[in-house]
Amino acid sequence: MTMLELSSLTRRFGDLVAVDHLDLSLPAGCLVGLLGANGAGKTTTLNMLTTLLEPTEGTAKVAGHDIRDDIMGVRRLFGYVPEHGAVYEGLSAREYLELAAVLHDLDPEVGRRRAERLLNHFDLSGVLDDRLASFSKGMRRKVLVTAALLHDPPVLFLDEPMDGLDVASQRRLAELLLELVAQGKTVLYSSHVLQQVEEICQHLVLIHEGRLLWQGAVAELRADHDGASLTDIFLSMTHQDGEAPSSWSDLLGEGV
Amino acid sequence: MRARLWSWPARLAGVDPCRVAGLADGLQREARGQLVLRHEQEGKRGMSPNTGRILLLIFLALGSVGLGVAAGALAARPWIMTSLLIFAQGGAVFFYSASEVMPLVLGAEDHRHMGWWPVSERELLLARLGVVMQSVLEATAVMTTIPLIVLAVTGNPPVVPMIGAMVGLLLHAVTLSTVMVLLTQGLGRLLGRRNARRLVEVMGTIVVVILIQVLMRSIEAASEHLESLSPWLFMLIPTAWYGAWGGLAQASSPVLIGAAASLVATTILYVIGIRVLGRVGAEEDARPVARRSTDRWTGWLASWAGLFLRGRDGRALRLLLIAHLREDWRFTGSLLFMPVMLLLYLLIIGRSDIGPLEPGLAGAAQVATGLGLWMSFLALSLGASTTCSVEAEASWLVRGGVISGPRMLSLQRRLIRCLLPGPLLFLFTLGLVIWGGLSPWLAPLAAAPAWMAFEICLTFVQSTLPAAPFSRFWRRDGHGFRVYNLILVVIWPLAMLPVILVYGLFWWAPMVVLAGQGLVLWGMRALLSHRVRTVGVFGVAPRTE
Repeated sequence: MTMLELSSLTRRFGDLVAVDHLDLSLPAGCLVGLLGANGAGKTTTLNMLTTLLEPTEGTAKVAGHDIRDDIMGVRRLFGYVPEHGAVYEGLSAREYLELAAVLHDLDPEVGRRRAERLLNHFDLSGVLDDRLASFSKGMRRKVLVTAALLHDPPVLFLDEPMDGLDVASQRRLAELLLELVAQGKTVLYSSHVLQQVEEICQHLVLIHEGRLLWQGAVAELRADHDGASLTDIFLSMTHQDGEAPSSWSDLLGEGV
Repeated sequence: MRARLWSWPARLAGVDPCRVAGLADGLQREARGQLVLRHEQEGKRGMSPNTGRILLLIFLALGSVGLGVAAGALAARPWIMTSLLIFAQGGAVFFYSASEVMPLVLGAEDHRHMGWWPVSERELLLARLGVVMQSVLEATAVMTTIPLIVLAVTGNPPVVPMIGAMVGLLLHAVTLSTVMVLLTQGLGRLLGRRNARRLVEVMGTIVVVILIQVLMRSIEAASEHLESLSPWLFMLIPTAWYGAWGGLAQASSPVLIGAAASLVATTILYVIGIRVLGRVGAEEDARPVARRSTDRWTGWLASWAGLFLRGRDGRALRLLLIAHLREDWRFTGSLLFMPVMLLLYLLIIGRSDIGPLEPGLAGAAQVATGLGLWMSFLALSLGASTTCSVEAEASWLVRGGVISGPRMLSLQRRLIRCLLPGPLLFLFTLGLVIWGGLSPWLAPLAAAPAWMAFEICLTFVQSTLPAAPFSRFWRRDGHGFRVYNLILVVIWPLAMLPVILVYGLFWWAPMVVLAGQGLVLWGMRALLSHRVRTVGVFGVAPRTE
């Protein structure tokens, strides 16, 4: 079953084409890495898929629901961890997750139990009633991940989900994601950290200047490039491999 | 219980009561949490948010006793009196909640917190309205109950009209909060949230302080006039519909129709407003910010400030000023509109003051009072826009050790002085000599108390508000400004009253007033220094060694 289907998805900001006729189809039960250089259009794509931004052209379907015609239906079907997602700092973790549960139409008791278990999984059970303002970046990230998983959605959009997490939490989240995928959930994982993507994702979607550059299995990509590292392949495909790094003296303008 | 309270309003708006109740509860908790956080950031010094709230309610209750006394005339002309009460209540409620509505509707960044959650715009709008209405109804309940108790105790109770008036006032409070929220939301829809926020920021100070006063005065005069012509004509004023509740006991046709009209108007406004303005939209916040076209004139203002802000520290602050002028339109608006307002004051309100003036000291006294209030207002408004902040990043110059806290406070004062009040007061003093006929010796004496009032208020702002070099006034801290607004509009003018009364009476009175003001200023500065030494400033703890 196709869980995510992008058809000629396009977004323009004035003259700038941020996402240019993107076509993509992802089945259930896959963890796909979304890669691209800065400004390639990853976040704009995720903003459209999460209904935060309306496409200029084309559309996409999340579990069969169109992001243009059925916004509320789509929102019920995914969990999202945004890169710059803010939390309500005046609320405690418990209150924030209670709010998420109410808005996802979860039974309050079920929501409370799930929130407690998930936060416990991420070692946050001791600070459940602390205000989110006192949380570190990594702790807030864990709360955002918890909120994204609370309603057990079939699709997950993750934008730099490991950002700020300590090594143990990264591993725990990675294992959890693999388990979710094994259960048939679809995860679109956007990140700049190629090593992480290589470790976790079986499939890759590479976009460059808003266009789809490559899509397929990680192993296939590496085989096509004689087993080169993902970093080298990425730089080569986005034509950034020829740029010689400047020396510090050159950067200061005081070259010797 | 909460869902049951929301049952009717939610059904009328076509949404699920449980979801709206949960959302409104979350937003309310967040708003309260922000107040507590800010209080904690301030080292829990000063008034706690709850104490501030109770104090304001007590103040409203005391103020409303006056309404109770005025309501003694209810028996004779019940709906006229109630209508006047409703004008007064409208002004109070607007003032009480305006600082809450703007940040809640236009300043809120709910899209960043939950823009991808299954929340409809209508649910969000209704929840925001619920948050505003809760405090508005709380204030209205206090304002209406106390006069009723007073009337009952004094034994002169036109109780039935009073109960009718209470219903009218509560209904009016609901309408007023709905109108405020819908207007703000509509403005956001029409211009885009970003532009609407700028417009409100620019207009905020002026609308709250000036336009409401003008509107209330003109409506009061118009209602008296219309009533003398015909009760039917009077009932053409929408506010009078709510006032009609106070005259229901008389059961006259205009009154009954007026009261019915208030119910119909409130329901239609609520249902249609929420349904129309609660449609999905407002995606602009996810777009990249476009380049702004205001760089040129913000550059001019910064160049002007550059004349007074010299050296390394001055240059650093000037760069912050440029960034802030582009970002905080309330601050920029104050800078642009204040000269206009002061000019209006000179031309309209103060025309009799400026010329020809009475000879000698009496002429100086004529000017000192009005000008003193204006300058205080300028200091409180401009000072607050410049210093208060909940944004930690606004303090990076101090936090990074580039400029010390006391030095930054001093630079801020210099910046605010030079940007507007200094040049304006200089021109005004010149005007007093040229057009007012004051001697060049007396003109500075007329301006001096105004300048001292300005300095006192500026130091007060720096001492009391969470200070940062620059800030975004309307963001999440609207609730905390109610007490501040109260000081701005009520307490400070009252404090200026002795100055007004004695300044022109004796030859030595100006000396006493100025010496007194000097003493207050010295005390305020000492308090500020103490605060810097003990609590720190700009979020930087004081050095202990």
